[in-house]
This record gives sequence, structure tokens and C-alpha cells, in this order.
Amino acid sequence: MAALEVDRVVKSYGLRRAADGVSFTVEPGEVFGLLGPNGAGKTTLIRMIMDIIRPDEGSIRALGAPVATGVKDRLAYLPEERGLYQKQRVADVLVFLGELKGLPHHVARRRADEYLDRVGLLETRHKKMRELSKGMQQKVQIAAVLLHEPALVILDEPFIGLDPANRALVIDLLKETAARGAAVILSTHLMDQVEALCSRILLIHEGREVLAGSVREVKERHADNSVLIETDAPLEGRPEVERATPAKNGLTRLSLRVPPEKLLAALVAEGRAIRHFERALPSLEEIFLKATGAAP
Amino acid sequence: MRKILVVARHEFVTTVRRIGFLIVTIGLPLLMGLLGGGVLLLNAKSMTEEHAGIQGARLGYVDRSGLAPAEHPRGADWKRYDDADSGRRKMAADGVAILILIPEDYLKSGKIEALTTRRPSITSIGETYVPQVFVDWLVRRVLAGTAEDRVARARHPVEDPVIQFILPDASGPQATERPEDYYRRLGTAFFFLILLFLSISVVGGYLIQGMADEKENRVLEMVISSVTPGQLMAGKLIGLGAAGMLQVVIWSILGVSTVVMSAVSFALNPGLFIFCAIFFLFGSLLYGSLLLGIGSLGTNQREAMQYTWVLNLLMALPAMLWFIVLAEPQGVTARVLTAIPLTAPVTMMARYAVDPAGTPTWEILATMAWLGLWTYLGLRFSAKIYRVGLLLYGKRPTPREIWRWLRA
Repeated sequence: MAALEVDRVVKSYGLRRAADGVSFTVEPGEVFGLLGPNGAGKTTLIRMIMDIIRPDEGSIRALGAPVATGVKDRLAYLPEERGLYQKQRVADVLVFLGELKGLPHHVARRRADEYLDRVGLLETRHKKMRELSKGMQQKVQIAAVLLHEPALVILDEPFIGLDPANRALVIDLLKETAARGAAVILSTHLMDQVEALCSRILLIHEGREVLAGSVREVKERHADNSVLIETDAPLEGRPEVERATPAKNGLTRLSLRVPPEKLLAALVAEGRAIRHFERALPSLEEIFLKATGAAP
Repeated sequence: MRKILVVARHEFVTTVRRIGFLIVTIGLPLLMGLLGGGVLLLNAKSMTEEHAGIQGARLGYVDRSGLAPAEHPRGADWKRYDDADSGRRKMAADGVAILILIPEDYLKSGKIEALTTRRPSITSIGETYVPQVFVDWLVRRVLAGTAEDRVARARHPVEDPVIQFILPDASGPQATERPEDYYRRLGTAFFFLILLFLSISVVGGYLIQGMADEKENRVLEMVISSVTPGQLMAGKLIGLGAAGMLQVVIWSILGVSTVVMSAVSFALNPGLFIFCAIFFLFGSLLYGSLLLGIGSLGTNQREAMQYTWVLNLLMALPAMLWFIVLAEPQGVTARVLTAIPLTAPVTMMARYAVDPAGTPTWEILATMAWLGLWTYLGLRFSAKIYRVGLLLYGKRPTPREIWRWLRA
């Protein structure tokens, strides 16, 4: 059973379609990237999944049931516009949010401590939220989302405001959550995090699906005849090479007029030393910019 | 239901644990008691002193009335002058504080002039500056030649009148009441009117402040991914309603009731508290739900208050018109206020408390049913707006959008 099934969902605001027939599924144990430029309709889609707003057409089933039923307790949602009760104590806020997800009071209290410990903030449990830095509050929010051990987690821009060390901590937490069998949906603009975490992605633009599939598939689909190479052979002026540009780590990126294997065979036949040879796949960022028409 | 109770407990606990709640709940009545008591004491002291000062002041007078002369009362060290001018000139030197002029036509007009060096304080504005002993002396002169017992009766023609009010629905000689019973009911009704108005307003204040805090803290989207907006609204109404109720109970115990009971002899009827609780329930649910619904359209506390001032004004109307409602509990104003849902709880409470016999049972039951209907409609209406209004940050909805949400 899929953790989430979104089927031809439509939502309009006046004349504008924020979601226009979007369909996708997310499987248990998977980290799924929901991508799109600002205003693409991601937040609308997420709010429909969480039953905060209702779709005009189409259906959404989470964990095998419509969200309006009792299934909400097994979902978790970290919205982009977020904050916690500033005048309340950290542990009290977590216990309240845990109880709202159906945890008994004593379990919520224990889990609050466990998850605060996990994000390195156990000593702040008696402090008021407003006494915490923005980054610390962000980690408390992540703890609040995960403490009831949900089966489907949706995070909208979870890395905003986090330094690299805390970003790594959150990535670890999300990986653990997926390893436990939960489905994780990540909506972010940070493409390197998507590449590091997500097995599949869906890119939407103006409410419509633009591309979907596993990260590898998407990249291969958008790959051109380019390779990354490190060799002692002179590359400029070769008939196979259309253009050579320097790339990272001392490699050279070649745009080819022939399939890559032909160049490889030619270099081997010439007895050249080849230290690195790899198909150059486009980065998700390049694909994102191209697909949304924002590429220069 | 469990989630409603979780929200209710959270709202209740976080509200009553606030320092502000303790300060307002315990500090405010103490402060009011101390200030009020202090002011009353000072007032009473100043009034007594001023009165005694006037009664004991040295008098001077000019008598041009031609009334039969009479001896000054025993112990009265009065100074008689021939005319007003010389009286005015000499009064300071003679130690005269009040100079009384009896004109020629006194018998016809009864007019007396009093010139005094005393300055009245705010509490002695009603003083006549003609001491009682001088008035008695005038009476004796007017009635010169009349027997002493008649003079005494003329000075007090009515002693301690026995007054009985005939009740509006009087059907026999039993249906009367003494003024003190009426005043007791009036005091009781005023107490309940203020108690109910305050308690509903306090709950409203907490609701609007809590919602604005949640909006400003951006916490709502996370909360409503766990509960429905309807559950959240219900939980808030129950939790903050209980906090408001607790505050009012403490106020009653601490001081308000003591002050009222000592000022007016007070009829504590347990039935009235039950009546009050029922109307508190209707009033706070209706007012609270409308506040949450309409207030949710504002993006912060200031905007929420701007949108809800009409509701606040309506709520306060019976408290502002208390003198009409209490004087004529079955009059047109009281009945109109009973028909308006937001003013009905406080008005009906006051009407019943001041006139339990005259307020028809059918009207009480009809008001409860009417309020039940409006509370239901208010909750439904507000839940629809609240559902969308909650997530409005920084953008004001147009009337057309609100209409669309209501129809959704």
C-alpha cells in the first residue's frame, strides 16, 4: 500500500489554478522530493494532503484512507510559515503537540525529552521558546514533527535557518525516519539536499507536473552528449569534441559530437592514460532551471 | 472529543499559569478594594467634617422680615447686624463664618441668602450653609403663638413613613413589598449583571489575545494539521471559558461580592448562580465564537480588535443601559435587548434577578431556545471563516472571498 496517493487533484483560486490535475504516489520508506519554483503550487498541494484545504476535484489518500478520517494522527507536517508558542516552555509545547497527535500525556512527555536530546537541546526543556535562537527553535520544530513517530512526514523547506552542522543533523534524522519505514516528502529549493536525500522527485510549475521519476532517471533523461574526463591527451581540436570547459576537481567537461563510448575507444586505441571518464549528468539545479523556463 | 479536551486543557493551563492572569485575578480586586475603600473612607470623613463645621460655625444675621422677635437658642453665640453692608464689613473681625440675610418678603418667598467664607469640598456640594438650629429658630418665629407640640409637629410632619410597593402583578393584599426588599433585589440584579458582563468579556479578551498570539507566532498551520479548525475552536472556547469562569469565581470570593454585600444588603439565592451559569454558557459561546470567526480575519491583535468592536459594543450595551433595564425589567428597552442575541444573556439575567415574579417563564425559556439557535448558527458561521481566516498572514480578505468561504 502506498503511503500517499494523489490522484488528478485540481484546486483553483478564482481564475488561477494552483493545482491542475497533479498525480503522484509516495511509498513507505522513501524520501520524495516535491519541487517547484515559488508560487508553483507546492504549498497548496501540501495543504490539500493535510486536509487544511479541500481539492475542487480529484482524490487524496494517505496511509490508505482519506485524510479527513482519523489518519491525521499518523501524519506529520512542518509548514513553511511556522513558529511555536513563544511564551511557553519548550517541553510543554512539545507535549501539547504530541498529545494533539494522540500520544498519552506521559508518553508525550518522555518522547519530548528523547527528541530534545536527539537534537541536542535537552537542557533547554524548561526555557521559554522565545529565549531560544532561531536555529534552535527550528530544531525544536523538527522534534515536534517527529516525536509521535509518524508514518508520513511532509516538510516544507526544513533547512531554512540551519547552519551546515544542524543541516547534517536534520538530514540524519530524516534518513532514520525513512529507514524506520516512514514516507518522507521534502519540499525545498536546496537542490543539493534533494540529490543527497531523495530517491524520486516531482517537479511542478504553475500547478502542473513538469517532470517526475527517480533522481537518476530524471538526470539521464536530461543528459546530453557530455563527459567528464581526466587524461593526458590533448582534447582541443579533436574531431569528436565540440567544446571543452574546465570542471571541478581538475576534470574537463567535454561536449561531444559523437557518443561517449566512441571517444573512449579512440583514446584507448591511441594508448592515452585515462584517469577519469564519466558521463556528465546535468545537476538537478540545471534541470530545474531548464524545466521551469528560468535557465539563462 | 479527546482532541478538543487536549486543546481545552492546554488553553486553560497556559492561561492560568500566566503572571498576567494572577496579577489581574488577585491584584485587581485587591487594588480596587483598597482604592475604593480608601476613597469611600476619605469621602465620608471629609463630608462629616464639613457638615460639623457648618453646624458649629459662628453665625451672623440681618433680619428685615419683621417676624416676631425671639430669643436666640441657648448656647447660640449669634451676632445680629442692622444691614447687609455692615454685616459683610464686620463679619471677619467678629469671627462670623456664615452671614444669613432674611429679606423683607421672607414670609412670602421663603428665600434666604447665606454669605460664607467657607469653601465647599467636592463632597459637600449639596450643603445649604444654613445650620439646622437656625432653621428651627425661624420655624418658631413663623409660628409664634402656636402651642409647642404643634411647633414640634410642624418641624417634622412625617416621621419614618412606612412604605409598601405594590407589585406589578398584585392580586391581593399580600402582593406588596418593602423598599428594602426591592433595593436588595436591585443590588443583587446589578451584581449579576456586572458579573455576567465581566465574565463574558474576560473570556472574549482571552480568546482574541490567544488567537492573535498564535497568528503572530505562526503556529496555527502546525496545530491544524493535527486537529480540525472546529475542534480547535471548541477547545479554545471550553478552555478559556473555564479560565474566565475561574477568574470570576475568585473575584466573587475575594472582594466583589463582599463589597456589594456590604454596600447593599444582598440576597444570595443559589438559583441565581445557576441562572447565571446557563446564560454565561450561551453568552460566552456565542460571543466567543463570533470573536474567533471575525477576529481571525485580522492578521494581528490590533486588526482583530478593529474587526470586532461592534461585537464588543453590543456586549456592553446592557451594562451601559443598566439603569433602564433594572428600573423597567419588563419595559420596551429590556425586551428589545432580550431579543438581540448578543445582549440577551446579560439582559435576561438582570431582568430575572430584579423581577423574578414578573419575568414570564415562557419568555425565559424562549430566550434560552433563541440563544441556543443563535449559538449554533454562530459556531457554524465562525467555524467556516475561522478555517480559512486562520492561515491568513498579512493579506486582508475581500468581502467576496468571505462570502465564498461561508458558502463552501
